[in-house]
Amino acid sequence: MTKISLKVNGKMHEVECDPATPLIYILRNQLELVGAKLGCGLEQCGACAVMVDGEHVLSCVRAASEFADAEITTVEGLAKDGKPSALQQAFIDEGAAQCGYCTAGLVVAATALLEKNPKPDDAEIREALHEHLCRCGSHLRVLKAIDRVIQGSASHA
Amino acid sequence: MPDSNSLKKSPSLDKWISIVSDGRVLIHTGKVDIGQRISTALAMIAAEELDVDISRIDIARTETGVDPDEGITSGSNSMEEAGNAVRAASATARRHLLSLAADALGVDVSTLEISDGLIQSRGTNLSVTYPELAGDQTFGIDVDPEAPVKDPATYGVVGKPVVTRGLTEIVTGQPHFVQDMKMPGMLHARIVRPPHYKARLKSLDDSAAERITDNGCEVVRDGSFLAVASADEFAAVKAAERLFESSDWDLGEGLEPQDIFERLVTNERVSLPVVDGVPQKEVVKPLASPPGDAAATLKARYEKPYLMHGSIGPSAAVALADGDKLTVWSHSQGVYVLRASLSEALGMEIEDLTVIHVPGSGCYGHNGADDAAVDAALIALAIPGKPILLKWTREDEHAWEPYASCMAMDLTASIDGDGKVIAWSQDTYSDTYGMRPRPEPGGAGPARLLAMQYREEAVTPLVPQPNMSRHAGLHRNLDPLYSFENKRLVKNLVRDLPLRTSALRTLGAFANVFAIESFMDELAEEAGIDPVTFRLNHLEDQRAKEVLQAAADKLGWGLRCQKDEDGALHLRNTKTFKPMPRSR
Ligand code: FES
Ligand code: FES
Repeated sequence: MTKISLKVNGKMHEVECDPATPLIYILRNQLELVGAKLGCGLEQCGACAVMVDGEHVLSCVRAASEFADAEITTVEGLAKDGKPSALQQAFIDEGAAQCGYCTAGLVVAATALLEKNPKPDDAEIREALHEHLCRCGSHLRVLKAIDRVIQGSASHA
Repeated sequence: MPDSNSLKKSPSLDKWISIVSDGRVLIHTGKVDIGQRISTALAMIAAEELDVDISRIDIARTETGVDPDEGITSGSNSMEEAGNAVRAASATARRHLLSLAADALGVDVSTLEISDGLIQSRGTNLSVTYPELAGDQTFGIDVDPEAPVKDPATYGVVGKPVVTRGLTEIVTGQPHFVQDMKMPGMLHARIVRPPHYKARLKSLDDSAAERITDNGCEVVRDGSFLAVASADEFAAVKAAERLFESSDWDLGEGLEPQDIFERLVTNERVSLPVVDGVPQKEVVKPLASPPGDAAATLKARYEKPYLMHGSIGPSAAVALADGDKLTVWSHSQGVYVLRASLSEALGMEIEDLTVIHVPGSGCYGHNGADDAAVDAALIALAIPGKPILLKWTREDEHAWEPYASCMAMDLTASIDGDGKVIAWSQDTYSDTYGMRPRPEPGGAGPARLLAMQYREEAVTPLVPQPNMSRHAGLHRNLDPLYSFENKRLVKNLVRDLPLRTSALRTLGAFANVFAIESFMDELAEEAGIDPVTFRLNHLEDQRAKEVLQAAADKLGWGLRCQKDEDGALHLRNTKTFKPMPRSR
C-alpha cells in the first residue's frame, strides 16, 4: 500500500492503494466518481475514458500511480455549477443514449476532441470516437449531439 | 381496454399509484428499464391521465412483494401491458380523486377542473390538491379497466418531446447502474471460472487460498463454484487470478472441435411440422419430389452463427444475506421469475427473498443478468451480513452468457412456368431460445441457472422442451408472410449443441426471415421476374402489400431494375438511392 495524490476535477485527493491499482478503481470506489464505467478492463471499449491533461485516456488498465501530478477530468467534472456542459446538454437534447453504459466515455472522448479542435469535420469526429463501442447503436445520435455543439459554437462565433 | 394480465394479477389501485404528501406521484410497474426507457413512457402516460406535471411523476424501481408482477420485460409488450395498466390506473385515480374533491368542496363533479394536481371548481375560489385529498390514506379501490381515458386529440404530454428519464444522470456520470451501487461494508466479488463448461474443480492449493485470505480476501467455494470477495475491488481482481492459477481442474474430455452447422443437421433433434405458425405434435412428412408442373426447383441453405448479446457492461448484481432474508439487486428482466427461481435453487421461502431491479447495461435479451444475480446470492449467503457487489468480467460475459443459438435453414421450392411458387419447404434447425429463469414443474427451475451446475450438489442443465406457441422461439416467422400453396415447414430443436443459449431480440425470427427473403430473390431471378413484383404476386395480406409497395416507391424501385444480356436482373441508376440525411 502506498499513498498517492491525484488531482481530479480540480481537487486534490490523497489515496492509499496498491500502486498497481488501475485508475478506474480509485475513481469509482475511493473517490466515488462512478461516471467512468468498467466495460472490458482491456482498453478495448472506451467506457472508462477520462481526460488526463486534456488528453483522452482509458482508465481501466494503467495504474493510478502513473497519474500523480496530472490533471484528471472525469465526466462528472465537465458540468459547471451543477449545470451540464454544452456537449452534455446536447447529448440530453438529442437523446444520445439508449442504455447509457457507454455514454460517459463518449462524452469524455468528444469533449477532449472539441477542446483541441472546436470544428472537427466528420472524419475527425469518427476517428476520435472510433474506439468507443456502443452495443445499443446510439452512434448516430451521438454524432448529432456533437454536430449540435459545433453548429452552436459556429453561430456564436 | 384489452384484457389485462397485469391488472388481473394486481387489481388494487394502490399497487400502481401512490400520491405522496409533497405532491409527487409514485407510479409502480413490473416492467423495467433495460435501455428502452419504459419509465419515460409510463411517466408520460401517468402525467397525461392524472393531469399532473410530468416532473412530479416518479417511477418506482420494481421490487418483488411491493410492485406489480408483470412477468418479464421483453417481446415489445411493455407498452401494451404496463402502459395500458398505468393508463387505466391513472384514469381510475383521477376519477376517484375528482369524486372525493366534489364531496370535500360540496360542489358538483362536473364543475371541477384539474391542473397539475390542483382541483378547482369553476367560477368559485374553491380548490383542493391531490395530496390533501389523499392524506395518508390509500385508495382502497380496484383499477377500473373501463375508467374513461382522455381523447388522444386532447393530449398535452403524450406525443410531445420530454427529457428521457435518467439521461441527465447518465450524461453527467451520476450513479445509475447496479455496477455503481455502493453500500456500507460492501465487498467486491469476482467469480473464478472453470477453464470451460465441462471442467470441474479437483483441488485448490490450500496455501495459496490461505495467502489470499490473509490478504483480507474471502474465498467462497461450493463444489466447482469458486469466488473471491474483498473490500478492495482490485484486490478481488488479483485474488481471482491467483486463485485460478493455484486451482486444479478436471478437464474431462474437454471440448471437441466441431463444425457447428454440420452438427445442427446431424445431431439428435425434435422435429415438428409447423402449420399456421404453430408446431404440431405430428410426424414430419419427408420432402416430396417436385410437382409435375415444376418449371424449376431451387434449394438453398442459410446459416446464422452463434451471437452474443455482448452487453457493453458485463453483468453484475448486489446481494445481501441478513438473517433468514436475502435481498438481490439485479438488472434482470423479470424480478418475480428470478425470485421464484432463487427460491427453488436456494431452498428459501419466497417471503424471505426480495429482488429489486436496478438498471444494467443494455441486454437485448437474456444475457448474464440472472446468472450474475444467482452468483451474487451464493456469495452473499456464504458471507452473511455484508453486501456483495459481484461483477462479471468481460471474459465471463463473453464465455458464459447464454448466446443466441446458431441456426441453419434449408429451403427448397418449385416454381411453375408463370413464376408461381407451387411448392415450398423450409427446415429450421436451432437450439432453444427459451432458457430464462422460470420455475418449472418438478423443480426444474434451478436447471436453468448457470451456477447450479457447478455447486457441490450439482444440477444437470435443463433439456428444453420445444416451445409450442404460435410464432415462438426458433420457429418465429418460419411460416412466411407469402401465400404459398403446398407448404412444408419444419421446426427442428437440436440437442447436444456446445453452447448455452437463450433469448436474443426476435429469437429465431430474423434468421428465418433472412432465409425466406434471400430465397425469394433467388426464385424471382430464376423466374426472371422483378423481385418486388414476384413478392407482390405471392402476397394476399393487403397491409403487407401496401408496406412493400410503399418501400419500393420510396426506393424508386420500378425505375431501377433492368435485365442484362444474360437475363439477370440488376439495379440501375443506384445514385438515386439516397442515404438517410443527417438532420441537424
Ligand atoms: S473498460 Fe477501459 S476500455 Fe473498456
Ligand atoms: S447506449 Fe448502451 S452501450 Fe451505448
